[in-house]
Amino acid sequence: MIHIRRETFLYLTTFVLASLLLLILPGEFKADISAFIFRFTYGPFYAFSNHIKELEGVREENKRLHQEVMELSLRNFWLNEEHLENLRLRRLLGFKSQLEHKVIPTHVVAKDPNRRCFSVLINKGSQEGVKRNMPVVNMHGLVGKIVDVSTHCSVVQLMIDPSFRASALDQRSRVFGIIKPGSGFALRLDNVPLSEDVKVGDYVISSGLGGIFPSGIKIGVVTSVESEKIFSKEDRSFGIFKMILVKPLVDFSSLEELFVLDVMSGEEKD
Amino acid sequence: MFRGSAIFSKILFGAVIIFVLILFQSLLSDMVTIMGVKFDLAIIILVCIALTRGPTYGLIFGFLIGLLLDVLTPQTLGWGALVKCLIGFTLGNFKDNLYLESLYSKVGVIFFALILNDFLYYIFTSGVNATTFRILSNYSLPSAVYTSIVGALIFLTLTRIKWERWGSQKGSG
Repeated sequence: MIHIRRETFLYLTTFVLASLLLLILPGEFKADISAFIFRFTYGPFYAFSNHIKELEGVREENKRLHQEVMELSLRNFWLNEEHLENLRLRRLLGFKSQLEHKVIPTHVVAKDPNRRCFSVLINKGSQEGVKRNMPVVNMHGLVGKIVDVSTHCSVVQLMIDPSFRASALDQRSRVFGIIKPGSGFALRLDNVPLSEDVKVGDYVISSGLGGIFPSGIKIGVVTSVESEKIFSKEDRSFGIFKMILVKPLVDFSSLEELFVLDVMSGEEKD
Repeated sequence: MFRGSAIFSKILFGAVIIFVLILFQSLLSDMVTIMGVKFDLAIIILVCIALTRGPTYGLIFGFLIGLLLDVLTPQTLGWGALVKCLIGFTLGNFKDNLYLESLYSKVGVIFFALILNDFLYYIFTSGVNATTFRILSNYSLPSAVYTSIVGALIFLTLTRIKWERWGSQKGSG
């Protein structure tokens, strides 16, 4: 028979009630309380860590960036030429140009501590124009989307989160599918019929369907294509799909600089 | 005078534990990853405290540690605190009611505490479905093994330096 002291029972009741109170608070309050506690606990440590990381290899990076600037300037020149040509041709065909988005640069200030790392905390919030469901990318491709916003920080749900879904397509064959997390850091492209043309090495990009992620953002590379048979109880038949594994282009274990795409700010230009 | 120093000693003990946990989570946790698997220092600290200090310490530290980790995932704020508070309280009751002197039993407690903690966390975030069990087998099991091994090493060290005495003058629980 376990005997609970009166004092212990009092503490237990208090802390359980405090936890339940925190649980039922609206999402905005939760984010604000978290941001407040974060500032006085993890904040100084993460600031120190980021400062050290920034100093590491600055010289090497500077050298590399100089080289990259040269290459990109040259490439930019040719791309400008092609862009102008593209505009002229589009005008002739009566097309409208693609949407342009405002980009909000951010830094990762904390990672999900629960070993799974399905989300990260970034240093921009509603004050800087970040809103829920905005897509998040880095220089390699799609990272995830915003799921929680407070005044000066936001939570990014990574693509490897088990509940993440996005409409995607094979860049080469334009075959549509649903991108989902697979095991570990791998992704899966589901709902692709067996008859469709998807090959190992194809790039998978966002399709633009669903209204959250704009089209054309790189997601990953197809690493394996097999057939998958699913038995449907309702119509007593076999639905046959491809089982496609996709290796994400983004390295989720070392996320630092991210960009939030303000899709709502896009303006259509003729 | 003596009473004042005992309270100060308890507060200092708590502050050191919290400081170590924050330092680990923010600066060191990424450095101790083996093949993508991390160990859970929070669970080790919670089990250490609960088994040596009793249920009152267990539930207070469980709440504080849980809240500190919840801060990094605001959408589940409160759930980690509740789960760790209850785990700390339950394990604290083992202090006087179960034979837990052997290292193996303490390591076993760490293993099951971590699995229970993760299971309750995933139930809250994903519900009870195939995904929950997939994540448990892919992430929690390897992590529980790693955490148990690190926990064993920490227990051995703590036993040598007789840490039970620290900050426990007139200790409760």
